Amino acid sequence: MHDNRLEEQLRRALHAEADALPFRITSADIHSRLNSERRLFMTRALAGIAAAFVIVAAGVLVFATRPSAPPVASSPTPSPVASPTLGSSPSASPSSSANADRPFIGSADEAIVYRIEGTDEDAPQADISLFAARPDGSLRSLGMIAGSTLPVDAHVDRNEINGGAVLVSERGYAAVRFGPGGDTSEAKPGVAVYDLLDLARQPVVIDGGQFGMVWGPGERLAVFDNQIVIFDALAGSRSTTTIPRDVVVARAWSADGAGLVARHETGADLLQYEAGVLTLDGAFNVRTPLPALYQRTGLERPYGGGRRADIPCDQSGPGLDPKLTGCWVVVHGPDGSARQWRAGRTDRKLPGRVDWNHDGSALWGVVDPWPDAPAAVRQVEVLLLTGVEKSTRVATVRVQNPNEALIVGFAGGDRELLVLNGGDKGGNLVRVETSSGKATVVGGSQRLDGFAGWAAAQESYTAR
Amino acid sequence: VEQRDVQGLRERRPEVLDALLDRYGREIQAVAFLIVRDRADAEDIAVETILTAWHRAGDLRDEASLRPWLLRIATNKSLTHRRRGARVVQLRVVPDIHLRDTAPDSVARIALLAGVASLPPQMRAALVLRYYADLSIEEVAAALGKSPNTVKAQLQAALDRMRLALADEGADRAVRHA
Repeated sequence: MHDNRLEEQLRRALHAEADALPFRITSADIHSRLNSERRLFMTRALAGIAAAFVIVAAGVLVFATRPSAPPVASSPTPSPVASPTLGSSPSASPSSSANADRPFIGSADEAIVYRIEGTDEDAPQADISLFAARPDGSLRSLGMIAGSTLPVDAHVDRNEINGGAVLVSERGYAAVRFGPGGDTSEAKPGVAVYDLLDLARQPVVIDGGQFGMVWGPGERLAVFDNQIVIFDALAGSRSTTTIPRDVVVARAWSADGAGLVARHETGADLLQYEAGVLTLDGAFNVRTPLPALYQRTGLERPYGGGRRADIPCDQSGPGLDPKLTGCWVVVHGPDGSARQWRAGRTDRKLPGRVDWNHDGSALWGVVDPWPDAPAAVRQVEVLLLTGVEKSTRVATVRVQNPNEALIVGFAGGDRELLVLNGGDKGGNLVRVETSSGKATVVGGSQRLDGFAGWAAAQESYTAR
Repeated sequence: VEQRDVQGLRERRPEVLDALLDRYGREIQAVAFLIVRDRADAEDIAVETILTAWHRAGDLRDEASLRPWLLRIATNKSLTHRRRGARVVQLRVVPDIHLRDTAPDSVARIALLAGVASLPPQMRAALVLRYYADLSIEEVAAALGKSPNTVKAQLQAALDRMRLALADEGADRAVRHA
């Protein structure tokens, strides 16, 4: 054990390997998981109370009505409700009459937003209201998805880590991701696809989706689980794509519809890999540079001009000034260089993530300018970070909790962006006009839970 | 700072989650990654570790031992973690910065990392805690629930295997250059 040279070599190798690993976990991820756990705990507690109540009531009933009856066989919990079969019948296709001439459901400047109805977040089979949000913030109803059409015990999945709960395709198919609500739930994870032009029609239900979903070109939905299910909403058909060994796949379609962006790891060292596209037949094709990506929301742009942005939050991490607190942006260049881009002042906290602008020249982010602010005046600033020590404040947005404020969408050419203002008491969405800094709360005082895509436009992004 | 974090944990103050993430998140993720060899799993384990610390703050006796305690939780989660069935990642993981380096030091590094990856999980965990996290033998032993002598023996065996990995790589290179 006293081979100092080997030990030192090993230390360097382990640090080189681990330090190359981007750190992407955000405060929002932690709080979101904690909130999910709390909801689960409440569901269990309520189920326990209900079970105890049933036992006591049954006992009282037996005692009162049959005092001389033999002892009742013990059955501490009521029988669970049988879960429905999640697989769908072929006739359940929402699109048997659909074709390529299917109209859009709104205009290009309308954002599709949704609200999960009901005040009890733990209630299964919640109704979901969908709206087209106009640039002035007013809402036009697109209809309501009846929660009763979801499987029994199914809870709409609000976990942002795997993307939003509701995503709407270019031509108006809404995919709703759901999961079990607690230990007593028999529901399996799944996705229900509705036709917004005919909400009376039963949804198509697809098993899986625990790792998210994403719409692609041609009204095709990729549902991620141990494998990928591709659902063609126009044809009403589905197929399965196997993820090969040594391939990791991203929730992002290539704009040409060939498949999903993926990475093939070719060696023991993580730095040895090939980037490309996993085609729908399960083949990995190297694509250098990566093709343009199809995006319904315009979100997730991690690369700009060959550079990658990272948000280290550990004070001992690379590129950080140990005197500073919070998270900071480090931009890695294709030549291996790393530069710290600050959010202007040293006392601002940068929660969440950053996204490159449409031409890869700058970064968008939301910054908490006053981390200790009283609840009544909490806000975030929407910043465009243009380089080292350079940033432009584009807008100021009032929020409940700066740690849960996120940019959730971009319109073409970054002319507009959407900020989700999450919080324990429900959230809302704010449209920000980037040229003027005008911030418009969508739906006034109405609570809204998310952004599902633009009504009549798709965005594309070139990941290089 | 550690005492303040521990106090915050015991009082269940939500902001302590942010503090733990800021101070220890990257290291926890790194330790998890070096053991499980999967980015997505390592991120999951890091989040789970911080939440476990939040729920079990009462188990931490010594306020000065917060960091080794967190790494102990992360190590245990890494050793018992069930690998994800699917390999689905965020887009930013895919076209990461691409460095191909065939310099001698890099070749040795790759050989060492391949050697680490081939170790049994318990031995790999001991190696990572000792040579990445720089924990003492006693702290590694506490994290793994083993005696210090057992850990010393495991580390000795692991280093022997690293020497073999380097020797094999050297022999291969000699053949390639012959």
